[in-house]
Amino acid sequence: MSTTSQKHRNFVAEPMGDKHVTALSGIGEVLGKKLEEQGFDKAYVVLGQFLVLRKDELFIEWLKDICGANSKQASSCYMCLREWCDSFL
Amino acid sequence: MASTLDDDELRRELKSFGFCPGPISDSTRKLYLNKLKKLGSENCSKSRFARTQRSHKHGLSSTSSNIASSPQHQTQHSHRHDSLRLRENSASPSHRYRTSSFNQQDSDESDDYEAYSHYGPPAAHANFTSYTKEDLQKRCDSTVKHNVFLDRQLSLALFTCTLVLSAVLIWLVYVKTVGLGQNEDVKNNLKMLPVDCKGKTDTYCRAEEHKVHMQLLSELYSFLAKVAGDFECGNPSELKSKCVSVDDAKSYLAILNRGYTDRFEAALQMVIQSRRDLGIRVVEPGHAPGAVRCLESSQPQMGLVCRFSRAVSTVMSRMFIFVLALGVLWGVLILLRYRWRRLQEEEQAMYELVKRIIGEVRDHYKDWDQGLEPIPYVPIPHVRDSLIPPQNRRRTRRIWDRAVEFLSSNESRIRTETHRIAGEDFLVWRWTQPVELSDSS
Repeated sequence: MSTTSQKHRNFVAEPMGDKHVTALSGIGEVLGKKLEEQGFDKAYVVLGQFLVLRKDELFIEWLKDICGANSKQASSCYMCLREWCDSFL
Repeated sequence: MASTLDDDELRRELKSFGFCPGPISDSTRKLYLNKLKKLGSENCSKSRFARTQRSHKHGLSSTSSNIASSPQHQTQHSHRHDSLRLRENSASPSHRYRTSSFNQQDSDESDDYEAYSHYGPPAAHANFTSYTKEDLQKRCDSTVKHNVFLDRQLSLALFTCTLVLSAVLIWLVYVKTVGLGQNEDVKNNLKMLPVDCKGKTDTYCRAEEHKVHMQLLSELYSFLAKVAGDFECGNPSELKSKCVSVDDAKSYLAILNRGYTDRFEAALQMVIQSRRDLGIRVVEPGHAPGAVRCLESSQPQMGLVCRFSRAVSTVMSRMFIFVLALGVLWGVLILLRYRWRRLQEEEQAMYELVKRIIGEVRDHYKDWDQGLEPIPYVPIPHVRDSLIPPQNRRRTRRIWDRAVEFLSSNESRIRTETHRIAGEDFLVWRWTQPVELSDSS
């Protein structure tokens, strides 16, 4: 059965447009703030980084490194972006 | 050592391991350096791994089948990696996921074992399908068993009830037919001993007289009983009633025995005065004009057939309610059985359809994987239309709905989502299990 969260489903259901980075699955208030400080204020910027890393799982490590996310959060964000790309890219 | 590499060298080193890096910039440099380190250590451990795993042909075939579904020698492993990496552009997540996870897991031996067991024995899948088939079968069987048990209990109960009721009915009919010796009492009252004792009034003569009266009465009784029996049983001589007028009775008795005529009145008096039941009733004339005093038998003598049919009709009319109730219950049981059979058939059809749907969605995903389909999910109506021919669609709507409901709640490998396809919103099914687990090769 599906173990994706509502946030994940909401994100992958439509083009991300100008959504804030906290709209990503796994990214809450705290992580969102940290990403903003690094310059990743919009979801599409994080998408950019994801694509630069060729949609690889290296993205998970990058995310953990940049904002201190744990494995679960980072994996969740990775899956979310990957699915979004499957549907819209 | 790795930190002194510049971007181009880093790129070259990574490529030599079969890993294709993206642009190396400030944000990504550290990541790629770590990756290089990991690949370096993994390469050493892999050669060690190969030697230990060589004996396990099973492991070899399974791990290599994950990459390209064809048996490989371990040394070619990294080259295969390479070609696969180049295929990344096709944006097939499953391959990337597989190889990248493989890379991650190959860092040390314990993880390798995990990978091996994870991509484990393909034979398990055969068991898996048969298990699910058996599971479905068992699910099916359990409902069948339940129904059969209830069915058997109910029909057994009804059968015993019917037997008991029929036994009771037969016994009642017998009782009514044969009687229970009611006539004995009357018969005992009528004993016969012909003696001529006219005019004398001593006790002996009175007794003799009494006997003659009794004899007369017995004749009268049988005559009246016969008349009553004829009247009751079809009335062949078309009598108006079973009551015989006194004159008719007298004339009959005169035919039998001339001596009876004198004693007739006396006998009649005896009947009237007697307190015991002699089987003859005297009916006094009513107020209707033309009614005469008549005699009738209180115990009509009927033929066996007549008695039997009368008994049956009486018993049936009295036991009508019970018979009706039993009939209704049998009818209900038959209806229930029919319904159960129908439900069972429908469930079978539903499970069959569910299996076909799963196969269809998985095939669609495989096609998408190979690049034959543009989207990884398939709309539900499209699946229905490809599985059910048009003439059956309306008929099997209920089964289809049940199958869809079953899938959304009981199938973990298929996820139901909503997507917009060509501008229209569809509920779609997406296969979420990595393909290699479901391959039985």
